[in-house]
Amino acid sequence: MAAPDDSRVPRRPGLLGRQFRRVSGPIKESRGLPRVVLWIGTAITGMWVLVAIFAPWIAPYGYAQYQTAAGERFPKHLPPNMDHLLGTTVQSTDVFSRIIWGARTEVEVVILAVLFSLAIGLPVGLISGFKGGWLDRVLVLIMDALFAFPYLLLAIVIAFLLSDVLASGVLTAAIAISVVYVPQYFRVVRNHTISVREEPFVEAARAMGARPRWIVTKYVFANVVQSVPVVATLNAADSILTLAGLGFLGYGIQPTQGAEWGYDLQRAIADAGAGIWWTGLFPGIAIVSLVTGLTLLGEGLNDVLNPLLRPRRTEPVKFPDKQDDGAETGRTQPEQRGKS
Amino acid sequence: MSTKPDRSTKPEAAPAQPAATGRPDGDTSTPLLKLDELKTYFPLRGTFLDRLIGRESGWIKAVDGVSLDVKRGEVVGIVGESGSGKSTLGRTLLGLAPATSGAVTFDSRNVAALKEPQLRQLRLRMQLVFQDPHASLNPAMDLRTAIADPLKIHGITHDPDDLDRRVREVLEVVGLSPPERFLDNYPGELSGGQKQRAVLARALILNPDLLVLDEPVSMLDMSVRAKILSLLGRLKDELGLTYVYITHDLATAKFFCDRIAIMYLGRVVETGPPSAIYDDPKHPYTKALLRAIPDPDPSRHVPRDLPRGEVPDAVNPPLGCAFHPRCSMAYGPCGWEGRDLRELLERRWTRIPEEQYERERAVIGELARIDMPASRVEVPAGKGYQGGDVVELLETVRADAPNDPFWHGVHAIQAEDGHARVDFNTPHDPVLKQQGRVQVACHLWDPELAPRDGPAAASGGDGRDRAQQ
Ligand SMILES: Nc1ncnc2c1ncn2[C@@H]1O[C@H](COP(=O)(O)OP(=O)(O)OP(=O)(O)O)[C@@H](O)[C@H]1O
Ligand SMILES: [Mg+2]
Repeated sequence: MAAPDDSRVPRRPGLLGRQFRRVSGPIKESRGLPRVVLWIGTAITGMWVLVAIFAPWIAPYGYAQYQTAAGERFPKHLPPNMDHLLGTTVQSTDVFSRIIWGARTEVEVVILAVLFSLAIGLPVGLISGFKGGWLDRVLVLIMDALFAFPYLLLAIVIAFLLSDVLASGVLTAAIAISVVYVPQYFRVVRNHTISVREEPFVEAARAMGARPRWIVTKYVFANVVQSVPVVATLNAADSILTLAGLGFLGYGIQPTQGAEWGYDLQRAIADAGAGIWWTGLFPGIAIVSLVTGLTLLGEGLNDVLNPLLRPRRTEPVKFPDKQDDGAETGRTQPEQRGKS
Repeated sequence: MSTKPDRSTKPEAAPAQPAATGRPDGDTSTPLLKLDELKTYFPLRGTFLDRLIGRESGWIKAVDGVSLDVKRGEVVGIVGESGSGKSTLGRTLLGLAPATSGAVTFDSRNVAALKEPQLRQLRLRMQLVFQDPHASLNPAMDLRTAIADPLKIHGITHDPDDLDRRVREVLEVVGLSPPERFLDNYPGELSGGQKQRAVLARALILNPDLLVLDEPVSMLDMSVRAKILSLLGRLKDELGLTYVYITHDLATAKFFCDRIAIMYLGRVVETGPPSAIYDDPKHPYTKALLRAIPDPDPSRHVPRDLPRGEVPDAVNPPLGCAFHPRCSMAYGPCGWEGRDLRELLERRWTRIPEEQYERERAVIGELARIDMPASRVEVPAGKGYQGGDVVELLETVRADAPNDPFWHGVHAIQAEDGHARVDFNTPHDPVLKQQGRVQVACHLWDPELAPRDGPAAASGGDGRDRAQQ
């Protein structure tokens, strides 16, 4: 046997890279409504993420800034104008700047919350589903109890308990929100694990002599993790609302810690009666658009990635035409079975 | 970590060396694998209440007392209908399903008694190939990773170059060449035959001694079947493998196996070399299976009387010989019982005119009371009828079809208060007995039980002579 030359061992993408390829394939191939939904969702979400990243360059003022650099206080309740694109609030802060900075808060909290709940929900769901038995039953019971708890109340309790411990409002809010969403990740991952566990390739791995740990990480995980992007985006949409709810009730990000749309909405309640519409309308639009974007993204991903919903596209059947020049004019019969 | 350095380099080395050399236990006289009264039962999932109070509501007797020797280098076929416990037998051999009792001796160790960590070591040497190649490959793993995985699992090598070299070698061995074309493919991108080759490669990379092939070609296209089977045959010779070949297809078993065991409801009913089994099947079940093989020559007219009825359920198998309810040659000692009586009555009632059925049905009470595996049943009389009426009815039934094998099993019918008592002959469990070149578990061939004019009597002396050879 010739010594293997290194050129024949190409560098391969790691596990994440290969997973990405498996996910990106169906996305590129998607057609029709799911594709439109997916792209609109991506566009809206992407816009807000860009806004969050470039907030310092986009926002003309700081989120708590109520005077110019020269110390001149902004007028309060100023309607939208050239200096203050979306007007000013009762505290003389700039509505536009607060929305831009708010985007940053939302994105930070949501990303952290998704990471936290994944970090707990994914491994616990995997172990619970794979091991089964009494451990599974106990965990399911705990998670169902958490799930049955009114989610906003749960988030408030956690935020309240943590507010003295953690200095960072973003971290507190993220943890409070992740506790709310852990049960959902747990459920999805556990149920998927249970179905994958029964697959012959898992028994094949056992027959090869693999330890349970190896089976879970190499055989079960890669198949279960595909259901995560959909749950994560849909939960992200939901957690925007939870964060806004926390802020609205005064348990979220404190005004000294950052801009937050839910808090702004709450402050705008009094304005609405006085005909001052800009302080409430714009944060409201921001919330609705980000939630819509994430929901569309999640639904689009679900349609595209979920093999049960994915319309089965049969390859067009080609009949070679009997033509003298021998050119094969494909007669195609595109067949698209829509999801029911 | 491997204690057997030769093992890991085999795909290139083995074709050069004869099968038996280089192996510490190359002795062909002691079997590589020996099953001794192996039983694998699965607990039946009872009702919620049963489970709540921890009551077992019964057992599925998937494998019910199988004894079998597999010699080194041999191909032993396990043939049977769906549900006869073939796959469970295969899984038990590898310790994937826990044996309920009995022993699986592989290389002087009892697999059935080993714990998981020891089993993992043993799995270096015995591998399983599943029926469905698609489902037995991880869809999220490319072939390179999937086939190299056993080496990583057993810590044989982690060196990427070494892994790559071995994977390429074994891909060539199973005929997936050039390997570059397949290394980075995911299972979904391969055809069925290619997938099964990949599964084979994964099983062979550890250089096992024993391969359990669970219907390895039954999900494949006809044109691919022959290729995979001949590949398997070639690999066996080149690599010195031993196969347990599970199939429901007697036709392929014929040319592929050195020995065949016919399974029915968890038991082996007949075993022997294919030539003997095909030319002169002894067990009525084997005969029925052989008749069911589609004949490519339409001019030859063979009766296609598949055994009537379904495979009985493995929780409460029939008394005596499990095949007797479907057997056209069953007689006295085969284990006739209450459930057979019920079936007989119901079969009759579907044939007779409506008003006659109404009349007869009224004579007998609740049928569920005879629907049990018992050699003595009390057939309850219907409302307004006596035990005598029931006896009378049963005698009418007998008179209408006196040749039904069922009546061989009835010892006595007596009228009692409110019911008729039916006593059946004592059931006997058939055991495997040498008969010519095969072993068969059927009372017809048992000189002590067989009827005077039965096949055992006809060829009895001859058979016993040959058995002693
Ligand atoms: N894990 C299990 N739990 C409970 N019952 C089982 C299990 N595996 C198999 N059985 C039962 O054991 C019996 C034998 O099943 P098995 O799969 O061994 O049959 P088979 O001969 O391989 O059939 P087929 O040809 O359809 O593959 C069946 O009644 C089946 O329902
Ligand atoms: Mg099977």
